[in-house]
Amino acid sequence: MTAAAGRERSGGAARRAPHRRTRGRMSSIITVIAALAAWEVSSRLGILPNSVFPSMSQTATRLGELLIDPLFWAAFVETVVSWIVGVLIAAAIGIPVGMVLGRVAFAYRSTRLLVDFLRTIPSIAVIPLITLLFGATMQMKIILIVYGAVWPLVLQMIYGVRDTDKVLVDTVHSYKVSKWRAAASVLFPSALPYLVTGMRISIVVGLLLAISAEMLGSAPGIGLELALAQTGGDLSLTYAYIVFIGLVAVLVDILLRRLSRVVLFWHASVREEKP
Amino acid sequence: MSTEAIVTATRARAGKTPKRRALTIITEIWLPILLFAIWWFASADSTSIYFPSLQSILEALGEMLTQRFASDIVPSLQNLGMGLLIAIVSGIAIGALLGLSPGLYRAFQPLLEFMRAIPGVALLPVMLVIFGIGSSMKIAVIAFGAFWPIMMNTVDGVLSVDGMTREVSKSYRLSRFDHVLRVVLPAASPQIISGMRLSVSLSVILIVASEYIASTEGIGYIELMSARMYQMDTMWASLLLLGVLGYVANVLFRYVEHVVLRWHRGVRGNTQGGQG
Amino acid sequence: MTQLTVEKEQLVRPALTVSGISKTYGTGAEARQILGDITFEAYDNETVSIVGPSGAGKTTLLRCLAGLLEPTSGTVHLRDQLVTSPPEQLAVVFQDYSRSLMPWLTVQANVELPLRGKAGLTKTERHERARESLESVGLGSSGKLYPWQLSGGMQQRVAIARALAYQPTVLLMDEPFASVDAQTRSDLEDLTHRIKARYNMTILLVTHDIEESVYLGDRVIVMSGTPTTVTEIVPVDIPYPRDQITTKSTREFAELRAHVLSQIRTTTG
Repeated sequence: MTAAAGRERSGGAARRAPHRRTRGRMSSIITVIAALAAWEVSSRLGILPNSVFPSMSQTATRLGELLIDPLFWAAFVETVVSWIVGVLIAAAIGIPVGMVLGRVAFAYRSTRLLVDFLRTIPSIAVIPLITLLFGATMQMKIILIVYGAVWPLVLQMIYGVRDTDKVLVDTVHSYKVSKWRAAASVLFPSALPYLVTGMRISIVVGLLLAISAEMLGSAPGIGLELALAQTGGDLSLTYAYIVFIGLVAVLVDILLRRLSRVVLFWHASVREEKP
Repeated sequence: MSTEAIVTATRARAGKTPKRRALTIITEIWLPILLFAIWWFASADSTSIYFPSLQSILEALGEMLTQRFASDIVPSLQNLGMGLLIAIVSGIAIGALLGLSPGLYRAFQPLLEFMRAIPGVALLPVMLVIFGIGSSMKIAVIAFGAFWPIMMNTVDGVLSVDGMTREVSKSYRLSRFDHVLRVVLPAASPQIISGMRLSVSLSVILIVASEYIASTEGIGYIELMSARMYQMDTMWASLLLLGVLGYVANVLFRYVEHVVLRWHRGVRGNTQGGQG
Repeated sequence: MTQLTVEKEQLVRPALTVSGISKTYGTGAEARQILGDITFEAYDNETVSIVGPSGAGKTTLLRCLAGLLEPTSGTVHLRDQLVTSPPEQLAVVFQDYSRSLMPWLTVQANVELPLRGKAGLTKTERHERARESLESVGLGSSGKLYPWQLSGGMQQRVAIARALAYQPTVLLMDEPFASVDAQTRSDLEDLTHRIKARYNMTILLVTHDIEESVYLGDRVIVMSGTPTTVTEIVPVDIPYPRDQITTKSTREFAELRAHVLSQIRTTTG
């Protein structure tokens, strides 16, 4: 609800917000049910060709079967482990690098073109190279995720550090605090909103890359299972995987929004969003 | 700030001495040049299959640019452009429609959030089944993936159009057409543009992915094939080319943004400098 | 020109008739009445100032008059036409010029924007009309600039030019000079006088500045606090042309100002 609540800022709408929100929730539940029903009906009636779209019930059945299949969960764990490890390594590299680049003007200017170039290379383009070097392994996936997920963090930290209130920095300097203390007490907290944004992007990018590496580089994980389901001609299984991946992505998105509100409870953008 | 004050401010910013400007350029390019030189000399006598000499990579790149331009590079760019175009037009149109009818948007929101969350790459297998191998499949993948950020940002932008702006539009009885095209969409353009920026990066990723998975042409196809045949200089050359392509797409986009959002910067610059 | 002479000439309905409008937000225990039973008229070529303590429903009233808000009861007529949505013969100048002008359009395009909907206006006519009204507010040479390149006072002039180009019979101004500095303010007040002399319009000016209400008005409608009602309608029989220095230093002006102030004081208690 965070985004929707934040969006309802204009005038009279706010007054009727609680009432509208329940109505909005009702209508969206109805829409979801209607969409699922429409899917089912149109594939039964043959409006959606069965050769291309399996019916909703078929897909749901396969999804249900998947969820009780230990092999499926093993594949999912493969995906999740590389995803988490990759993002963590990216954070360990990206955060300090971004802070230094944001703080030291010379370093920032010297690396500006390089960073710009490297981050705009479509990250999945390195898959053929790293597959040759590391094979279809977890290691390959992690390297890809680190490469893709590090840039949002670096950039956001640069913005964050540069955006730190000059007065705040001067205050800390006038108290002759050591550089490390200054970084910990002022730079980091005031760059935190940017860090949270960077982490959110990195985590989303991480999932995309994990699945890409599995699909395109044949590393074990649900991406590979998805690709195999399609090559095997099992259409409803293919859809079941896609639905599952979509659900995971939505869940992660909701979780991240909630989390960033908790972490940034003191920040103005969050305070404004509260109804 | 008065007009004159702004003119002077702009002049002051542009009026760096040539010496200082040269220094800025040098700080920005010394490292890339140094790294390039290191790569050049360190790889000069390379015997590794994986890391051929930079010279041979550049030769392969030259060969690609001359011999495979029409057969591979142009199709990649065409599909990219076509997919993006569809995503932009439909994303803005549908986003504006949903933004202008909040009830409709609220009803569809969970469905849309779900569709948006599906990573575009995961849809490749399905698109392959629906469209088969060929341009239409690639265009569809790009259009679908690039549609969501533009559409959702358009909705956001339209919903956050200032109430006063709407009242002006209403009290002067603007036609629906003028209201949408000359008031609402321009007001939402900063958000729309930031959605488009995301879409541009996404679509470069998706064109490469779709050329890996099912294609007989394109830069991504060349890269994958040369990797499989251990023609590493060509592989590195296509990787480099994709990097340049991504970079150029970004630079072009930044230019468009610079032109389209001139007013936005103007307004922000003004409020930061204090009104009066 | 005073109210009486207008009434003699004009036996048709007044330019604007407000009869018994009230506005209540919410229902039941949460109901909050902002406007309570307001009735007045504004005649052709007359400037009516609406003045009252801040927080009073002046802006709510203005939005009802402009057809942007539906009153809970009562009616607003523009000549013979019942106002239910923004009428074509009415233009509004809002207080916040930085938000009421479109920053993505040039000054010229901003003024032209409302003219696009006017039937039977060619592109050249539209262009010409906008240029003319920009000239009449002293911005003839700023058409190609963007609003944010202008000072606050100049931006409000653009907003006024936009209203003038629309050629309304009634011009509503909502605290139009509240966001500019004192010097600009008196410049804009005098501009309002010039506009009144040049165009045949009924001007309704909402303000919290008592001096301004007397200086610009042919009549001053004094409003009370919440719920807002009409406390008194004060005729201002100060002849034109009025001048910032000479008019404001007359005994007449001082007395009227004091009277309006005392009226506002009594209503706020």
